[in-house]
Amino acid sequence: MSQKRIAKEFGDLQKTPLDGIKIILPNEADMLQWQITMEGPKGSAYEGGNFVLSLSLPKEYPFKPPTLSFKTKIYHPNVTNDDKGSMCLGLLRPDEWKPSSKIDTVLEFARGLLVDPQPDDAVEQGIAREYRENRKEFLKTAKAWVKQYAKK
Amino acid sequence: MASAASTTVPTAPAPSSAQPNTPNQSRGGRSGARGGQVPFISRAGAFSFTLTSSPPRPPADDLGGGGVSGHRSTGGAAPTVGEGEELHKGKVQAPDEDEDVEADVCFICASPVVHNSIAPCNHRTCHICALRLRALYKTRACAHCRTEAKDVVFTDNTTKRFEDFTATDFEQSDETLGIKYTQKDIHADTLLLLRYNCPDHDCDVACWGWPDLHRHVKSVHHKVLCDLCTRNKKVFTHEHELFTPQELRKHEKFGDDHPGAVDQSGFKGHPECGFCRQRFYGDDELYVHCRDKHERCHICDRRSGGSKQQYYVDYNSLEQHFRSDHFMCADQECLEKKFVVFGSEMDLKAHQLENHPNGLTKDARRDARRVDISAFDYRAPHQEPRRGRGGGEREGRGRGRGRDPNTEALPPSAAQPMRRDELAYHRQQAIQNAQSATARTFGGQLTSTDAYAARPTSSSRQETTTAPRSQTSTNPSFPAIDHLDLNPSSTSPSNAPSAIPANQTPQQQARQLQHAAIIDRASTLLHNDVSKITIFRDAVSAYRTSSLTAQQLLDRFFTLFDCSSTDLGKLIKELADIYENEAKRNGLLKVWNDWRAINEDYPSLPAGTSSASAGSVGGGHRVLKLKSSTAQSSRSAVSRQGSWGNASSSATGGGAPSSTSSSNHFPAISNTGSIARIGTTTPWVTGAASSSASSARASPAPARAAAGAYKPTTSTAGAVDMFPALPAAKKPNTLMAGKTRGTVRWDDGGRNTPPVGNPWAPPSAAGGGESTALADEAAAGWEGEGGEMAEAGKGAAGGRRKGSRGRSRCCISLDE
Repeated sequence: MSQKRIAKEFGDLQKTPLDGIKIILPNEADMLQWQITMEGPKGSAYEGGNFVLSLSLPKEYPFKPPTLSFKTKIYHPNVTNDDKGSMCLGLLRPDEWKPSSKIDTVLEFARGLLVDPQPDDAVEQGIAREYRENRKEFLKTAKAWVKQYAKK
Repeated sequence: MASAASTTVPTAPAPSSAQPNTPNQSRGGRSGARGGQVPFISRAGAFSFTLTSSPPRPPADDLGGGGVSGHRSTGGAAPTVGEGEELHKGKVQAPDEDEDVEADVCFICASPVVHNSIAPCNHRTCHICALRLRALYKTRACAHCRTEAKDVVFTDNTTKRFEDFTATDFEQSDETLGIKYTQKDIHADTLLLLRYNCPDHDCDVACWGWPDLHRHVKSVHHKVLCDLCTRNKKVFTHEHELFTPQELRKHEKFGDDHPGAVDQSGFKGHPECGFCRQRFYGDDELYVHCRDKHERCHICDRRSGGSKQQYYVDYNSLEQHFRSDHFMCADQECLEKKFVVFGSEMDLKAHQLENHPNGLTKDARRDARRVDISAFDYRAPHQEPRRGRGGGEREGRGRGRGRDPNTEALPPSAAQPMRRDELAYHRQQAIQNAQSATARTFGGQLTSTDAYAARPTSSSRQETTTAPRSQTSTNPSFPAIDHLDLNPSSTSPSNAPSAIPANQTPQQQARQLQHAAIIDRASTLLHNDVSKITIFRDAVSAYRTSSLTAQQLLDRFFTLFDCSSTDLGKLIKELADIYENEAKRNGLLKVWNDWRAINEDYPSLPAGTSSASAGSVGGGHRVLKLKSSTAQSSRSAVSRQGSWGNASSSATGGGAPSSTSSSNHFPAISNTGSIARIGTTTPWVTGAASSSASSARASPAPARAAAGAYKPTTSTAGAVDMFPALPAAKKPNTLMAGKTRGTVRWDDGGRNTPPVGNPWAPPSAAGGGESTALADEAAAGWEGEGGEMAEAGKGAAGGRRKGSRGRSRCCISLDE
C-alpha cells in the first residue's frame, strides 16, 4: 500500500527536485531506501560540503515515519556523532508524525537544521554547549569537518 | 543453565523510535523538540529557516499561517496543530481550494479516492485511509493535522464541509469506529474491508475469524498465513500474504525482499530471541520480550551507554556474570535481594560498610576470615608466630586480620577500612579460585586445628561464590498421599483415601501420583467445588466405560470448567495420559485438538461486521475489486460465505438491506444483534479496548478471560433460553463457540435454524454442513455475547435499533 505513495513522492521529487538535494535509489528495486545528497546550505557552517544521507521508509509508510541519518560525518548538535549519524527530527517521532507529512518536508526540515541547529533539541550535548557558548569554536570545528569529510 | 546463560541475543533490539539514539539523549531532546520543532514544520513549505529557540505552539501556527496564503479559510472545527504543514502540501491539496483535485487521488495513499472521509477539521482522505487509521492503527487523529476526531463522515460528496452535515444526512453510523455514513453502500464498502477476507486474489471468501481463515487458505489454496503477521501487522485481512510453507520459513527468517519485485516490502524477517528460539513480529516485540523475560546487566549498560545490548537468559546467569565481572555483595540478604552488585571494589566496600555495619553479618565475617587466610600466603614466611597466635582463637583471628594483630579489640568497622585495598585484592582472588587456593594454603602452613577451623569457612565461602543454592535443597515434595483419593480410571471413583500400599509396583505408584495431580489440577480449576469435582470424576469414569464419547466428555468439561483454554488443555492432556486404552487417549486428544484448531486464540479482527450489507454477492464483488483482482469468482462461493458472514451481518442488523434484524431470528436473545456485529467485527476495532466489548468476538479465549467482566451466570439467562439442549452455560463463551463448532448441533435447538432463514440463508443451505456448523457457532457466540451484553445492563429487545444502540454503548466504553 505504501508503494504508490512512495513512488509518487519519488516521482514528484525527480520532476521538481529540491534545491541542492539529489535523490537516488541505491538499489533500484528498493523504494524504501533512498540516498540523498544534500549540499551544505549557503551561509551555514556546512556550506561547500556535500552530505550523504540515507532515508529509510518503513513498510507502513506513510502511517509510520521514515528515519533519516547522515552517512557523511558532520559536526552538528542534532546529529549523533557515531557511525549511525542519526538525526533528531521531532517531525519524525512516532507521536509527532503525520501521515500527510511528505518526504520533501522531511528533507527541507533536515536542511533547515543545517542552517539553524537546535541546541535545545540536541543529541550531542557537548556540541550543543559549544554551539551556544562558543560559536566561534563550533564553526571552526564544523568547517574543519566539512573539509575533512564532506568535500565535494 | 549457566551455559545457555552467557549467550547473547544476536539481534539486539532497541525500542524503536524515530531516532535510534541513546535513550537519554532522545529523551532529553524530546522535550525540547516539542517547542522547537513545530516552527520547522510550519515553515517547511516556505523554506526560510530562521528558527530561533522554541516558540510555543500557538505562535508556530501563526507563523505557518502567515507564511502561506490563507490556506485555511476552512475555519473548521479545530485545526490547531501543524497547520502550516499543509502549506507545502498545498500544491497537491489544500482543504478548500483544491478539493476537487484531491478528490481524485487520496493524499495519503496516492490511490484514487472511492469514498471521501471528512474529519471535523475538514481534511479529507479516502475512506480506506481513514478506516485504516481508525480500525487498524486505532488512532482517531486526522491524517493531515493530527486533530482528534470522535467522528468522521464517509461520503461521496466531494465539496460539502463537515459542519454542513446534519443528522439527517446520515443513513448509517458506526459508533465503534466513529464513522457516519451518508450512504448505505459506503457503509457496506467499509465493512467489507473489515471482514476476514481471504487474501487470495481470486477468492472472495470471507471467513468467520482467524482460525477459520487459516483453515480456509490451507484447505482451499494450500497456503499458509504468517501467524505473527496476522497477529500484529496492521493491514486489512485481504492485504496479508499467502505463503507456501517454505515461503513462510523464508519470510520469517529473511523477510520478503524480492529485489526487483514491484511489491517488495522491505521486510527483513521476524527477529528471533536467541534464548527462546521464538520469533517476534518486530524488534519492538522482541525488545519487550527480552526486557520482560531476560536480564540485562545494569552495570555494563551504564558503561556502554546502552549501545551494547547484551542479555542474560535469566537471573542466575546474570548473577554468574555479576560474580565474574563485577563486585557482588556476598551477604546472604543481599544475594536474596538480587542485583546488589557494584562496578568497583570501592563501591562494594562502601556498600558493605553502610549496610552491613559493625559489619559484618555472619556471611561477611566468614568472608573476611577467608580473606585473612589466603593472606597467609604472603605473610607466612615473615610472621609465623603471629599466625599461630591468631589461629588459636578464631574470633580473635577474624577481628584481628588487620595489619596489626596486637590491637586486639579493634572494632571490625574501624579495622576494615584500613585494609580495604588488601581486602579487595584478596577478595578478587578468592572469588576466582575460591576453594582450591585456600585449601592449598592451609595444607602447608596451618596447624591441624587451624585447618579444621578454616575449612568450613572456605567451603561456605565457596557456596557463596557459586550460586545461592537453596540451603537444604528439598526436593519438590510429592503430592501428599492422601490426595490420592480418586482413581479416575476406575469405573466407580472411589473416595477412599488410600495411602500407597507398600506392595504397589512403581508403575502403580506413578499412576496414582498422576491421578492425584489431575485431581489437584481439576480441583483448583473448579475452585474446590466438591459437587463439581464429583461431576468431573463421574464424567471421567463415564468416558472410561464408554458411556460418554470423547466429544461428550469435552462438552461436559466446557460446562464444568470456567477457565482459560490453556488450563483446560493442560488438564485434558494429563487426563489423556492416564488412559491406558490407546483409543480412549487418542480420542480425547483428538476432540481437544479439533476444538483448539478452530478456536485457537487469535487477536480478533475488527468489524468483519455486518458483512456486506447490500448483499453478499455485491460484497464479494467489491472484495475482489479491493484486491484489484480481475475475476469475480463464482457466486456460489460468495453466497455460501455470505451466509456465514451474513449470519453475523443480519445479526448486526447493520448492513442487511432487507433490514433483517437479528431479533427476527432470535427473538429470545436480546441484543444479539449488536453483539454479533462486534463479534464479527474484526477484533482490530475492539481489540485494543480493555473493556468487555473487546471480548466480543468469535474465538479468542484469552481475550475473553481478559474481559473479566464476563459473568457466566448472566449469560446463562439468554443462553439457556435459546439453546435448551446446551448444558447450563457456566463458562466463557469461547468455549461454547468451540464446542458447538466441533459438531453440528442443529438438533440442539430447533430455534437455531432461523439464522439460516435470513436473507442470505438460501445459499447457506446449499453450503451444507460446514456452513451450518458455522452458523451454529455464530449462534453460540451470540449467546455468550448476549449474556455479556445483558450483564452490562444493555438489555433490550434485540431489534436492529437496539442492537446498534447496545453496540454503541459498548464502544463508548471502548472510547475511554
